[in-house]
Amino acid sequence: MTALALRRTPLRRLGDLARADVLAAVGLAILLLVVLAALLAPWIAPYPDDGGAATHPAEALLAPGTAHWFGTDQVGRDVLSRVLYGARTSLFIAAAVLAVSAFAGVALGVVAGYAGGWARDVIMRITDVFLAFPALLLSLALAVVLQPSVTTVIVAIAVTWWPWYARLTASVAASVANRGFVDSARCLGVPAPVIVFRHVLPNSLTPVLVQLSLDGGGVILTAAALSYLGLGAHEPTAEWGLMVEQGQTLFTTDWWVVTFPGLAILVTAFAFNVLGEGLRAALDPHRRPR
Amino acid sequence: MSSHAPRTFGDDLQPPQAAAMTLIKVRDLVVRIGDRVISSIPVLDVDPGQCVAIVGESGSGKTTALMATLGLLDGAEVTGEVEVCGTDVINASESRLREIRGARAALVMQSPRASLTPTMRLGTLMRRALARHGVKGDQAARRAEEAVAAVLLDRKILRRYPHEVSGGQAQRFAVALAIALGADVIVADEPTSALDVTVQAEVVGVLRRLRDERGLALLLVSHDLALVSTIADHVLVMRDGTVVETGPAAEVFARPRAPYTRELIAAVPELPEVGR
Amino acid sequence: MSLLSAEEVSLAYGRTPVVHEVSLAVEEGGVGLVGESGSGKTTLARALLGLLPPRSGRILYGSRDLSAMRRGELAEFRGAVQPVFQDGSEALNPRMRVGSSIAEALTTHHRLDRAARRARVAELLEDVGLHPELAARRPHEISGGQRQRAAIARALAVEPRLLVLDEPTSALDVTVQARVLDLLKTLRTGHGLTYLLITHNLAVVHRLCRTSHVLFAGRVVESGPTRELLIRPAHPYTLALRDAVPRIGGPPPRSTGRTEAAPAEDGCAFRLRCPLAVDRCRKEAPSPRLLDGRRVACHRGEEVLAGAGRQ
Repeated sequence: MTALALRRTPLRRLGDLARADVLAAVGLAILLLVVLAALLAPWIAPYPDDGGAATHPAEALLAPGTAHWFGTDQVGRDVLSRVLYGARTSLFIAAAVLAVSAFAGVALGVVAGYAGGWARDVIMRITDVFLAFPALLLSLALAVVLQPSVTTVIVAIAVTWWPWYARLTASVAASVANRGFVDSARCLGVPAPVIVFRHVLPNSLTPVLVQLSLDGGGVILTAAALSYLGLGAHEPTAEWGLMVEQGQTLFTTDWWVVTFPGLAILVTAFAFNVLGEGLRAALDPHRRPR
Repeated sequence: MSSHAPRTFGDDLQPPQAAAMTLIKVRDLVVRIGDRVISSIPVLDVDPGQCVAIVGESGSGKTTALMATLGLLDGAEVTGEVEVCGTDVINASESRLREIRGARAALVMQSPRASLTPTMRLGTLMRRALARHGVKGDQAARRAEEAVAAVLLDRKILRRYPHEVSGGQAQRFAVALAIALGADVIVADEPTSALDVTVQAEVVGVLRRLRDERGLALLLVSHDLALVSTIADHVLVMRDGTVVETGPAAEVFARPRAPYTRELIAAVPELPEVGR
Repeated sequence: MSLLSAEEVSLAYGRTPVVHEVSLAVEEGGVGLVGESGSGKTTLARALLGLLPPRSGRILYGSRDLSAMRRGELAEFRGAVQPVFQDGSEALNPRMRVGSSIAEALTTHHRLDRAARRARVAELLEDVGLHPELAARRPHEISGGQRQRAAIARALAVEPRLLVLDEPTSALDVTVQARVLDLLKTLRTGHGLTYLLITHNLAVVHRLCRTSHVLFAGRVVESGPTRELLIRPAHPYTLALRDAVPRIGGPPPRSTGRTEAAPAEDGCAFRLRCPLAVDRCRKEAPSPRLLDGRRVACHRGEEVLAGAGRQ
């Protein structure tokens, strides 16, 4: 039974997971929808031009209705279209941050974990320095120094995110490095870089994948927070955090301007989280039924 | 053989009723998953003061049979008759089963340390278990100390945390916990296979002593034929879910009839003949 | 000259000393390292494999110190000394096919084209009694015994002279264990191998090794011909290990009730578990001496030989 489950391709296993864990399946479905929305925004948005700098002063702040399902904002842009385009920005930021920090973190972590000794000490002390600052404060400080932009957001968040991956990978790689197949590769005289790439790395990635999924929501929230504070994406980019910031003063009168992008943030972050938790449960050897 | 043996236990530890009641009684037990029979046992009886062993290799269905006996199998279809301490296990309610497993038929597993709460001293753990069964205060303390002494452990162990004791100590503590609660039967799944030979000899020695002196009944599952030969009174040899041979231990080891039993006996690595 | 030897080797993990000044030589006919978990036998094996540098003392391959070897010499050592670990599933990378794992051993030091590699992998699998088709499987898709055989095939790929076997059968079912031991016996003659066997089971050592060293708390307490050690131990610890092995038709294994006493800090480390300990054992640590064809570190070796401490 276990052997069968393990023999499946990752995609099939994701399918198995979805069947076994309803909440994770919901998370997965939501994320697929968000990704579709992001990819197809130019085609499915009712007013594609409103994703950018278009203005329609005559149609400003229309309540949700048949023409504008989510209403319109201060300059008359369709909120639904902007939420759809916003998915592009948010997912792009999330993907970029996670790619950069996982790449840097895993590379350093696997070296630290396998090499041990002084190499591990040096790398871990560096990550400790980064971890010593509260993440959001460090991101804020960086974002203030750099020009507000999507790139700034990515850099600012990635700087605080990679050390977690380094730490996680280092501890996993250190335990993998003690396993028999690594020792027997060393006894064969297999060169260290080959051992790391062929034996240690592939067997250290599972917890990283779980962490990536759990972190997706966190990155989207942080990116939204930075944009909300005016340190990230700026007009006319459609970005959920920025939209919330622009709409917040109107909450009592024109609730839709702030509510829909806010919901988008919430739902996406939630989806990442439940999927991550589901993956964690499914891949945890202690919980796997025998 | 047990009724006349001297008792080394205090009055507080009531030995089980010496009545000749069969403590575990299995008839026509069949465990199925879907259409496949994964374990079946036609007849198995464990009397007080008796050790019955189920021997087999991985996949033989021996552990499944043991779990079915305690009503611990989920997701499998169990048919037949299983009686533990007079209770019909197959039709008993979950709460009744818990009661039996807690006090009368204790399960000892391969690595008991995993089932001990890591943040609790062993003494606290035992006191709480006793309190759940209505034994409190001085009486509980006395019982705990006597039970620990019965498994040849120092009573200082009661002040330790699970991670501070060795595998063999944890295993014997699990047995002590069972007898403190007044268990009549100990059901053990490979209780020594994670231990060094020297420690294994000690755990088996303790079990043998409890059987002889206290009339404890043992149902043991193991792949180690040599080990089983040193403690079991009656043996069932299992392969691929069925019993291939059963009989008194002395008989089975001296004159094995099933070819598989012979193969198992031949597989035991031998020491040179020594005059011990 | 012996193939591989340890001279006064002390080992530590971090600051914890694990092995104290152990000297031994691996010679033809096989050598067993026997002891309980925590005796330091696995640590010593890792040092002999060149995986753990000694804190003091030397590991010699032939007459050359492992720590002073040049790259070429080290490659020669790697080609001659190979490990087989306890659990085959640990020894094979779970993400690689069995065939690729074996092929890795073939191609690390030599170039081989695809066809030759494949043929050699098939040959090695047949040598250990496995069907060549298993090369396409992953470790979790085959049984425990098959995994251990595959791990042995991988070790054999470099045509070593010495295999370091760390509890090679203790994770296996009894019948599988017997077959793997038979395989190891056959391979020894077929491949001209010498074994260094690490185990807590004296009966297993008896089948594969002519000489044995018994380790307690990081020290060799007795060494000599395996048969002699089993029939007439001179150290009470060897005696305890032997008498603990359950035997069909034999007397029940004895238990002293003291197996978990920690090694003593002063005097003889074994004295808290020893039924023969006297005042001298507390005051003075016994140094190894020659006695009746073996080396033994016990003040009361003569008496143990004469039968003291038995049931």
